[in-house]
Amino acid sequence: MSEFLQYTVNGLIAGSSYGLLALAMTLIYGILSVPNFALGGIYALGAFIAFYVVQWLGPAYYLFSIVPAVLIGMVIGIVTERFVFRPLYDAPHAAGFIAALGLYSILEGGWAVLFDPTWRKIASPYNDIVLQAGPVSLTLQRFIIFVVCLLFALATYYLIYRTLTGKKIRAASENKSVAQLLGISPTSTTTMTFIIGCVLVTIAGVLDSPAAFVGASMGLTPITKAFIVVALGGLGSVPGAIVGGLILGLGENYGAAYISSMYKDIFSYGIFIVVLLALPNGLYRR
Amino acid sequence: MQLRYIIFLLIGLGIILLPVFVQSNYWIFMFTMVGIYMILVSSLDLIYGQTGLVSLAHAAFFGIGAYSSAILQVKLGFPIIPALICGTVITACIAAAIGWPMLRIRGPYFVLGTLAIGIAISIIIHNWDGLTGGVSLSGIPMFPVIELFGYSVDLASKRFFFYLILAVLILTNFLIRRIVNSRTGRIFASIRENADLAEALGINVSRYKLISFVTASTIAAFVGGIYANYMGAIEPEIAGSHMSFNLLVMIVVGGTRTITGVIIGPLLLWFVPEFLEAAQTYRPLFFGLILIVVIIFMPTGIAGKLRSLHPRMVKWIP
Repeated sequence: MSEFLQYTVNGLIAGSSYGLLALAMTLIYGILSVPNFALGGIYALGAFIAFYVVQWLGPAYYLFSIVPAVLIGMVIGIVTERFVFRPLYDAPHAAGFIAALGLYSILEGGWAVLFDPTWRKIASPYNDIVLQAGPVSLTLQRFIIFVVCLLFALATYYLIYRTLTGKKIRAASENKSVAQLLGISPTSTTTMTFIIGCVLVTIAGVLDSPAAFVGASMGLTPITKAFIVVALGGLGSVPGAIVGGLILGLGENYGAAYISSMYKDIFSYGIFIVVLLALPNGLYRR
Repeated sequence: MQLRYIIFLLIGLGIILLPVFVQSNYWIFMFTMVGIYMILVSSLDLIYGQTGLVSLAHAAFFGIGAYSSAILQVKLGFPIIPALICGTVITACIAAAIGWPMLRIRGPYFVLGTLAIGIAISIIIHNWDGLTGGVSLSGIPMFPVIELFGYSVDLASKRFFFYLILAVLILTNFLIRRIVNSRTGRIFASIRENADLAEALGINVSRYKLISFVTASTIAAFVGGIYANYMGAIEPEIAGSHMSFNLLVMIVVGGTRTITGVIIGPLLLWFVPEFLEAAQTYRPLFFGLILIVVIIFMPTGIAGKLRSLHPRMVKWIP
């Protein structure tokens, strides 16, 4: 039983970071109908920001790296939207998807050239502090991942469902041309969505980096899983992304613990294919 | 005879005589590899260009074809030709078993599904050591040396494979042309242009998607089998999502539904980068940039762009 609790906690922590990535993906999907693979490269950028902040300012400033991560995330959101996705507004969705794959390739290749393609580790000050709660133990770092992901997920939820900007984004993702008739600019809502999405992803990169190795291609697996989560939760659905992330995190950890850890990644893909065949519209229909 | 045909004939003759002029085995090897990519891209064009489905699992079937043929030879001692045929048939069955449920899924879900299947297959190949040899399966027999009219012909030589791959490439494109110009090909086009309308007109969309998917996967599997015997050792990476992604990039950049596109894509994106060896680290950067520039400025690919320059170009760009 105590083991089960431990796996549950591990699953929730992994799931919260999947959820944050999936949230970014689902918002952008909602507005452009493009699964933005390039977010994987932006996730790696977040991890590099944390790495350099820790290297230059010291481990105590680890959490401070969220500030530059947010700023750089905003800039990269604006730039990628303007120069890659805006020219493709009227192209078929497959074109947007292929452009996203190309952008991912540029980012991954770019980080490998800029930051030199070796894998490295971040010395977060919270990695060595172990919290004990009954039978469950976890490092402070992982606790921080969970809490900060939850905070940002709630903030996004508030932004989407309780503010005027959020209302515009929801209107534009429901029906772009009607939204435009009502005076909602499609370009500025799309830019706003990209800013939110890219900021969420850089933050996820900052948070996950001390628990993983930092390298140019580190974003590929998490973003593929975020894809799966988004498809599980229903493309474009905000609650679906968060719930789907937690389910995937739990499923993977239980699968690894009780069946086989070698095939851990297969479980997520297996879950995905089964759900896709059984519920072709995802858990939450939009 | 028109000037156009004379030029095409000269190009064809040049390709056939290439091994006579090029002495180095390295270059023959490179041309053979680019030919393998061209066959894979031609078959992917049947799925993507003709039927309009974005598949990120195409390399997986190339990999399954290579592995099933190689395993039959290495573990069960099959001779080469039966192994190649059985391997291709096995892969066609796997493709049908995967495609049958998957092709009912539409749009982005289908793309994500093929991505998941592609990754899952390469993980399975990687982890099923007992059968697939894990990180690498080696010891695949080479083609034998045979006596032909008193001459001994080394079928494992680089030159023989060059002509073998060239023949398969021509046959593949001939076969695909035949399909495309038939009723089936017109049904593929109707699915690509508007699947709902095709369904409303009484076309069994899933069935024709499956025909397109399995045909293309079977071609990929057959080349995979030849590739396994050519290389003598194969790795799980050949089935991975990176490989599938590269194939998709090649067809998008080269141009769909043209023979020129199928030739330009692998030449530009595999041959040129391989030639510029110093640029290894810049390769993903180069790939991504070309892809985005092409998709924004030439949505129909390089061949399509060339065709649209002048009405007469359509005849020059087959």
